[in-house]
Amino acid sequence: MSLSFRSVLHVSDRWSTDDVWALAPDPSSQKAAIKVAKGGSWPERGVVAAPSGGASAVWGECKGSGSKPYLAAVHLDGDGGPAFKCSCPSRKIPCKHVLALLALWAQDDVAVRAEKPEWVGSWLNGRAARRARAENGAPAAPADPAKAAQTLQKREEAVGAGLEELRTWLYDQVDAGLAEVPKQGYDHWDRMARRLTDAKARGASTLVSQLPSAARGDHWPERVLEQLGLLHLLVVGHRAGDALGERTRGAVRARVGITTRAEDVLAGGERVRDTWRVLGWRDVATPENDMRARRVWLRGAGTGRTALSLTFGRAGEAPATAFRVGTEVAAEFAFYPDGHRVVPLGDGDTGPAPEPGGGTVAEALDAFAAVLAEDPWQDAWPVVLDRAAPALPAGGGDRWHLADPTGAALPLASPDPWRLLAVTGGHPATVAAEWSPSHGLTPLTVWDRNGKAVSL
Amino acid sequence: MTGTTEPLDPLAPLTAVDSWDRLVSAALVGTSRRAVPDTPDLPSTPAAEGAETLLDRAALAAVRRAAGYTPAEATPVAPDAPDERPEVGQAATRRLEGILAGRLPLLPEWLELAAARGRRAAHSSVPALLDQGARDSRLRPALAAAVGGRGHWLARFNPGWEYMLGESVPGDRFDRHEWEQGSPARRRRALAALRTTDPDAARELLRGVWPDLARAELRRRLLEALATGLGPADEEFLEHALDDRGANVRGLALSLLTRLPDSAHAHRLRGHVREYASAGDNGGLRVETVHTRRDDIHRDLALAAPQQQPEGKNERSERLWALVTHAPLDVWPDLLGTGPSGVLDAATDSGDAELRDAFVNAVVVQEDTAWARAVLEAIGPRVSHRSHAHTRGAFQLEKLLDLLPVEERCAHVQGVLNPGVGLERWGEMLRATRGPWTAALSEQVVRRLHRPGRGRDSFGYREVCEAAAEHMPPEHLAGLSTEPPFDDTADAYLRLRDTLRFRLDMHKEL
Repeated sequence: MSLSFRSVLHVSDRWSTDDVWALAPDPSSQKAAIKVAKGGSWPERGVVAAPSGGASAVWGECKGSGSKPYLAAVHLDGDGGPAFKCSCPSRKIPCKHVLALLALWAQDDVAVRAEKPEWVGSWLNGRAARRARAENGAPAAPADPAKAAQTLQKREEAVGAGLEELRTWLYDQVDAGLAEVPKQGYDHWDRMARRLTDAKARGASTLVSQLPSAARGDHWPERVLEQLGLLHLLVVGHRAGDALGERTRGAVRARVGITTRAEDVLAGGERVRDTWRVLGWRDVATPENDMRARRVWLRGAGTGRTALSLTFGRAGEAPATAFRVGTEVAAEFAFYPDGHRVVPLGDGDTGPAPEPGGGTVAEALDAFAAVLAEDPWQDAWPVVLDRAAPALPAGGGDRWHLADPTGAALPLASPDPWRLLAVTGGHPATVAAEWSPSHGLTPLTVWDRNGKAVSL
Repeated sequence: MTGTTEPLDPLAPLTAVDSWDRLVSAALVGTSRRAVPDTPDLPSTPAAEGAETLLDRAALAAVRRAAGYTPAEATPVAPDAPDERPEVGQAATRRLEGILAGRLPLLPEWLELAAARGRRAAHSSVPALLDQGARDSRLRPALAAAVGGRGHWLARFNPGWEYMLGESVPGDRFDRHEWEQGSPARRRRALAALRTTDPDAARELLRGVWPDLARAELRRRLLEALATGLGPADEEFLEHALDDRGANVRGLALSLLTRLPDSAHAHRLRGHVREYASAGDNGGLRVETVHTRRDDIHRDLALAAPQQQPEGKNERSERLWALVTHAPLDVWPDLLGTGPSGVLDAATDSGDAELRDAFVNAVVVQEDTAWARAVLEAIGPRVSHRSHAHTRGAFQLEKLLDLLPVEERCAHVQGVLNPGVGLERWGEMLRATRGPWTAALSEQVVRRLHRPGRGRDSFGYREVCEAAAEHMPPEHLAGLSTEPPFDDTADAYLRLRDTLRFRLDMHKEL
């Protein structure tokens, strides 16, 4: 793993001064900052505490040569990394005042303060509001509902037209035969992918742009045909529209790339109140841009319902999430139309959670089959295995498996699942994992002998 | 969890293989040239033609295969025996992750603290620790203690961690099966375990298999186990190993024999010294060129017989170096009628810089504290890298200081680093002074860092900061002002404060 030191720690942990200097845009900024990084230059300064402990923001007022102090602040635990603000005229980001303030904080020279000046509060509130709006990449709700409906209508028509083109394109591929597929240049796929992006079907576009990687290696004809078939199924599903069940329709729309705004989910989505147990999390690269997505899987203790929380962060930054492994939160969730993804309502009460109840391999596969009945494109689903032990194939081979007490086993996606092995020592344990029939099992969390949850 | 995954073989769990194969063949050729095959084992699809039908059926087969995945059969691996030692706390585990991600120089201290408290690392830390040991063999003994039985168990599954199977841990017991059937690393560990309880039995076991060990590397690794519990009874076997075919085996036998000052080998080396060395007319030490035809000397020094005639300067100086390094140091004062300091002076007066360095090397190899004192006195506050003659001395400084008890070591350094000594020398000396430093030395360093009029030596100042960050007990953070005394070295100073605070927290957590 090539994570930097910072991304290993929680974002709001205190930084080292080296972390601070790593932000300096050039060496002269660092030198200038060291001159300003003196307690005496900052008569007013403070830390805004984060709810989870640690620091959410640092602010300070720096005496300059003029009559007005420079107002500098850093938002530490925002989405997409730290954000800076300073009232000085410097065009460098961050400027020397921000660096100096952070250096003081790294030296333990800025204390937590309950009150904060008005300029800090309004800046942080503004950022929180923008974050809420940006959560789904959707713009703020427009003022004119009629115009909004018209925009939506246009968008639906564009997507429909794009998918019709995709259908024709798919038939052309299969009519002509797939034998030449590995020899096709990227251009061959990119034209179709770009067309779908223009038609605002970004999800479908991504699926098309992944085809060339399927056309490599052993068994490429099987993989390519499988993906073309599933793409075709998506086109057919979209055309079926309201004839589909609500969840399947939700899954189709999400995969095509028609986003549902968090506001709409909060306003009209299905609400479920439960005690949500965190099963585990996993970071995945998002195909569209240079972002990382964190998938947190939760399960309702009362309803047995599976919930997925998705948050995003810049590459190299850990996406922020309120959910921690080994805890549960009593809260109400609003579900997206696909019936899995959620928006939490409020923070809820968080407390330590017992081990989740697990099952056999057969039960896990049954549950996944039931999910496929509603969402045939699903390729990652959480399963919890009870008394699962690391195992090697009965017939020989070195691919690691997890076996349940009946001896039934699922292959692990990773060839070197060392953390899982290290925590279990080969003893049976409760393991939460993501199951994918094409990649295998990716363990997310293991509960050790003392019942402590360990993220993998 | 992140990382790359290998796609599974897509056909592995497939049912209805025949239909799927037929669909794939038709798709490869193209539906414009071949009819869509019948798939009687799949449910029917909507009435359509050509490509559409084929894609419908492919999707059906794909989803059916995903939903109908058949589990494999696999055999759980044998679990390990429980490690009864308590685990370090959660904060210490998180700190270790931070160290592994960006502060590796602090890893030995973390391991030492955990061991001193009788605690083991969290099991989840074991893979990352094993990776460190694969890169740095000096860490291995400390890592072996930290990862315990779980680490040994896990190392069996990854060839990159094979080294760990050869590391001993306290409480190891001899396992005859491991000795007879194990990999080289495991045989060595078994032998080392027996050596701690019954050194003679272990040696005889090794003697018994010795003629059958075809690979020199294996002989060397097993011979290494004799380092534990070495005694006069091993002399005969080590003499035998001096005649080994492998140069590395001979070298190891020599270094083990060097630790037995009353052996016949040691007496022979003293004899060689008396034969070739004497006090010169000018008071300097004189060593004659050691004869090239003396096979007995080559054997005693584990050197290869010279190949070319006449031999070059290198061979001659190599022989002299080996003789001084391995001959018991006590022969020199007898010969010259003076103490260790006098011998060192005589070596210096000989005008042969190499000869003097050979003495320093002998002191380090023979781990002689009294001689270490004499060498350190002689070095004094001189900056060691001014001339070539002293480069080896600088390299050995840390090892020489290590030979003194920590109190004496710090007192010596304190005495050397008087206010007249330049910062560069402070840095060099302090970097070689392993901690934990005494309070007196620490306070002296803290005062030096704050003293005005530092001059222009920012390099030396940084060196002092780095040395203090590594070796000074972290409580002395309290003595360092929050504001850097000098702007141009503020980064190094602040990093020192950072590291000390990090270590202070680390000490509290462990």
